[in-house]
Amino acid sequence: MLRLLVSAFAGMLLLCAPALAQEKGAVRAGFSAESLRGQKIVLLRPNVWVGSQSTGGMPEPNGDWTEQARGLLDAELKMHLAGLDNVIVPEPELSGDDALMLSEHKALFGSVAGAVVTYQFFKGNRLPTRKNKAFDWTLGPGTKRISELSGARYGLFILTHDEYGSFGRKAFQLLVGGLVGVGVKSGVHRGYAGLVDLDSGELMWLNADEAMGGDVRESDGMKKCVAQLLEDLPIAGAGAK
Amino acid sequence: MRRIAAMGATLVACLGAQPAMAQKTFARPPYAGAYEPQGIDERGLWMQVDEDERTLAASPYVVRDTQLTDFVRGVLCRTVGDDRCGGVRVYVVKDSSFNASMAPNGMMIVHTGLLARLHSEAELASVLGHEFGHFENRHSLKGFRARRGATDATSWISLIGVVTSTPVASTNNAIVAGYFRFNRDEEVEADLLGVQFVRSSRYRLRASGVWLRFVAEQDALRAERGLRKVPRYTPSLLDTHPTELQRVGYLSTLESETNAGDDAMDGYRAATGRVLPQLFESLIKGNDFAGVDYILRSRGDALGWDGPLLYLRGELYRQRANPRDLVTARDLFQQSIAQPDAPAESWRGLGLISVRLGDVPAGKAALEEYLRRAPDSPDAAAIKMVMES
Repeated sequence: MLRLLVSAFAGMLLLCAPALAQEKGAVRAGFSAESLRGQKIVLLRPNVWVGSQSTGGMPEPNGDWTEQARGLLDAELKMHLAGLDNVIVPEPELSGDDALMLSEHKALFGSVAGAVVTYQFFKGNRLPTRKNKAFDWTLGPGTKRISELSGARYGLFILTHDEYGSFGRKAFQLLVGGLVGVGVKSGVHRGYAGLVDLDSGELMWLNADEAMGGDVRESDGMKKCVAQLLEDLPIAGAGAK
Repeated sequence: MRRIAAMGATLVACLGAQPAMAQKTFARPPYAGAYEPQGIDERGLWMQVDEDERTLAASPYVVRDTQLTDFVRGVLCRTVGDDRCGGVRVYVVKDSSFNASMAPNGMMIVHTGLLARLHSEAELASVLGHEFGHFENRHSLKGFRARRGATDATSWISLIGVVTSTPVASTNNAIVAGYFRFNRDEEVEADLLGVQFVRSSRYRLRASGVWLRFVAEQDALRAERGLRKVPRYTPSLLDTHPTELQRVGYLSTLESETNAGDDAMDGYRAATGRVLPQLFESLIKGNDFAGVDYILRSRGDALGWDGPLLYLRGELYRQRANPRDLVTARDLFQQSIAQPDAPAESWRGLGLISVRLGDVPAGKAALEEYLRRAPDSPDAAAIKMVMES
């Protein structure tokens, strides 16, 4: 009976916290710091979510932390990319058909990035057509309109999701670890970033990090977080490290 | 039927003084005015739904029809009062399911599938009143806290169970079932608050019929698929809502207490009739023939069979396309054409079917008439090809 319970319990924990503590990035062949130098980059409104994780593993959104992280992320990105003489412009305020076009492309990026992560990046689920193949993904030529509207050559997409373990979660983690010997994950720190060539729609670089570091609620932590997020972006020798 | 009514009476009795109060005064609860979210949980939820709304506002799923949105908003304002509806943003969303929702930040989502199934402003008022009831009583926040409380408790109990070798599954199950029970209670609370809103408005309370029709629609679908009909008077352990028949029970009891107010069917017919193809598009293309046929027939019986509605039913049969369906569809298209408000597409349907049934001259004549009436339609070139072959 006990064994059954323990295994059921462990199963439940596994469901709550899938073991995805990995990181993976890729750069499209031929893309270098030189292609990026001096270019205008439009930062699509980042998808930022900051909150806590309840004892039972439920995400608890925190509006104040999220707002704080948004501001810090914006400032840090600007500083980080300044070294390549890049100008970062915010997402243009659009209406009508252009607004629909942009929202569709943002959703498309989400789907494509999700497919890269699921079918190319992480082991276990790779498609035979993507296994050990070149990094070659595109959103299609429709992105050209975004370039026209924003005046930027590249589009930068960012998603960060940070759940800090609540006091209850940490206590639970400690007790389960000590008494049952099963690992419980406290906190979730996920960061995705991608760069799209808006002229061609091609995905130039993507980073998917399921174990982000740095406390996004503080400026020092955000510095670390952005450095980790843009780790593989070919901006060697530039930017504040 | 008596059983349902009796059940409803008990339920209403169990729910305490709220309906009785409503019966006496029919007044809206006092309104507090502009509200800002309080505390970490509520501010967090608002942050989340504010982001969702940004996405939705620029989404292709939203029907961009100011007239339709204004109509829905107008019914909401007349139901809950101008002070309450002032801050609400209404989005009509392309979704064929029978549903509507309201987020804690005041974003109201109404599905096209809901508008396709209702018959009057009074019915719409009862649904919008229910959704607004969730908003008014901050059910999203309470639900979030209840979920968190339940999962926290089951985590600790599981740990204690493992450590002390005590079976705790039934305790945990009881907590989970309790959460669902809480959810159902909130639905009933929203129903009753919605009733209160409708009763203090100019609309007549018309809530039970909506649920009866929904049951009939699902029964029609089950019959078509050879599934058993299961009339459910009590919810199961993990139901999030009271069963439809339960709602019919207590709502019809409340309806029988007074029949004052306006149904406003004409306004509803006009506002939805104008956009009928959009409301029914995904329903017709779906794979739920008997259910959609029921929805079309119930609308026709209640609001009258006009040209566009006859056309839609013809399309439903044409797309299923059994040989017998083609004959039925031809008949429906002909009936549609006989109406003064027949859409051009009725001629297209008639033409395509006539060609398929072997009556080529009649088919070509109808298709020619379609092109004459809708020369710029996107399928004009394809139709011309059919005519030449």
